[in-house]
Amino acid sequence: MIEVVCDASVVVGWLEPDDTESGALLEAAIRGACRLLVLDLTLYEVGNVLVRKHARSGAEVATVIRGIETVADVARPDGLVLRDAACIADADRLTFYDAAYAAQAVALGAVLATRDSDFLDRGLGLPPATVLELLPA
Amino acid sequence: MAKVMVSIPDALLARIDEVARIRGTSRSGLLQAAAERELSRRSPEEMRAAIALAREAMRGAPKVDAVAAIREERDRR
Repeated sequence: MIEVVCDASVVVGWLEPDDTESGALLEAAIRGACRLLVLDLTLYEVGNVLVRKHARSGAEVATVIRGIETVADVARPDGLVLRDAACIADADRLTFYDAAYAAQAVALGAVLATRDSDFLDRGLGLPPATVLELLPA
Repeated sequence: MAKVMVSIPDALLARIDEVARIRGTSRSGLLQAAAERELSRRSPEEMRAAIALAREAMRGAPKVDAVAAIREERDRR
């Protein structure tokens, strides 16, 4: 089964009715066509947006986080992955946060799904619609 | 810890060993992790219910460019 590491830009898309591509990727995972993974970092990044931009309460944030943890496995990058992340961050002029996603995907032999141009422009990730094309019908 | 004998097609075993090597783990460790993950997997109904609750928790939230907001935070930290 194809494993898909989703960065926070895709995860917030699961909550947005307008983001049909991220929603379709989520639906594919629910049907069993792929397995979704997020980083522990993702929960903080999404929580941050919910609190600071969407003005969500603690209970609402907890509900969203629980939803994410139910549909995706949460990976905590180990030392080797973080070492690789540092190398990617340096080589591709990315933040360490960005590079952690890319390194985790490489370590798992997974695809990185993202809506963020910093990944897409460097060829480090694929938009959800492209990931969907890789999945079995 | 129990030892078990299982039959696995040669091609699949080769993929298992390759992924175990990439991930810096053993064949046994990879298979244990895979089994644990499979056993903890949620049903489609549980997933749909959890994401429906999450979406309900977002009802009335101001519309923002979340992708840009995440990018801004990553670059600022």
